[in-house]
Amino acid sequence: MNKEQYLRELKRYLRRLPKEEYEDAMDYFTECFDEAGVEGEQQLIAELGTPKEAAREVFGNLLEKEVGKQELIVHEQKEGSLLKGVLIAILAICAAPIGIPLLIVILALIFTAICVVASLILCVVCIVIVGVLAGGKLFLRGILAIPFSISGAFIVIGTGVFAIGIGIIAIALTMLACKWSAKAFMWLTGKFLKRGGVKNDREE
Amino acid sequence: MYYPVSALLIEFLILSIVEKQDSYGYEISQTIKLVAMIKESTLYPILKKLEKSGYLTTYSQEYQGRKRKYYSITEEGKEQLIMLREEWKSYKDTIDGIIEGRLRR
Repeated sequence: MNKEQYLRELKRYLRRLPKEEYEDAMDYFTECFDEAGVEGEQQLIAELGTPKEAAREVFGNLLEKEVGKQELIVHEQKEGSLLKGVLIAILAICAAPIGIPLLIVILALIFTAICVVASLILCVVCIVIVGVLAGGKLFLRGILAIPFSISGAFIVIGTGVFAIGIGIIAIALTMLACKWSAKAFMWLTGKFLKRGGVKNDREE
Repeated sequence: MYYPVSALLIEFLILSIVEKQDSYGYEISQTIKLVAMIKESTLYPILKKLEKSGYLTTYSQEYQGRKRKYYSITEEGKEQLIMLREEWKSYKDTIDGIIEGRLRR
């Protein structure tokens, strides 16, 4: 394999990263090859291992960094970077040194987990919509009923406000649940990869 | 080298190298290779991390018709380096103390 082939293959793996990270990483590796020159080319390739191994190293360590950053900015609520963390976690699993059948099982499990979480979220969203609609209707009904029966009107208004309140609490809980499941996923992936990566650490 | 060099120590080495003079990825890696068997692919995320932590900034410079990315240390990086040097000194002194037999509990 020569420099061009190596970089082309590396590109295939790294392209799945967010654009900015991808460009940075490619620039870095291209520069490494330029610096090593023709005479150092083979040595550099031997050192980096296969393009897949090099990509795995980049993914794994970026993930660790992303998890570390999450722990630092928990209070700052950065939705975008949370999403990025989950994406990098999935990439890291794809690049991990495990057999293809196992990889399929793991990806299937992840897919199932995402489906379960998504359907739960959908359920809650339905409850929220129903709660707010029914609550709003009861509220209006109650106001319209004031001329006929004050106490009756307040019961209906109260029930309406209660339903809206439940809806709002459910929204807050859903957002928390999303955030925690994303974080738990990244954490688990980190654990999983670290266990697999013990051999790598020894080599260094 | 027989003893492993941790990622944290590599961060320390990078900051020290760049404090003396701005440097680029390959040159930094060649110096670090004097003490640690590190791959370019391992070094990259560490440089990236230092950059995101605000300890390093980067700029591009032309070199023989292509671009080279230079790293330079920030004020925050210098402060971090002071802390790392103190930690390193006490670590080194304790290790020396134990292996020379001066230090016992």
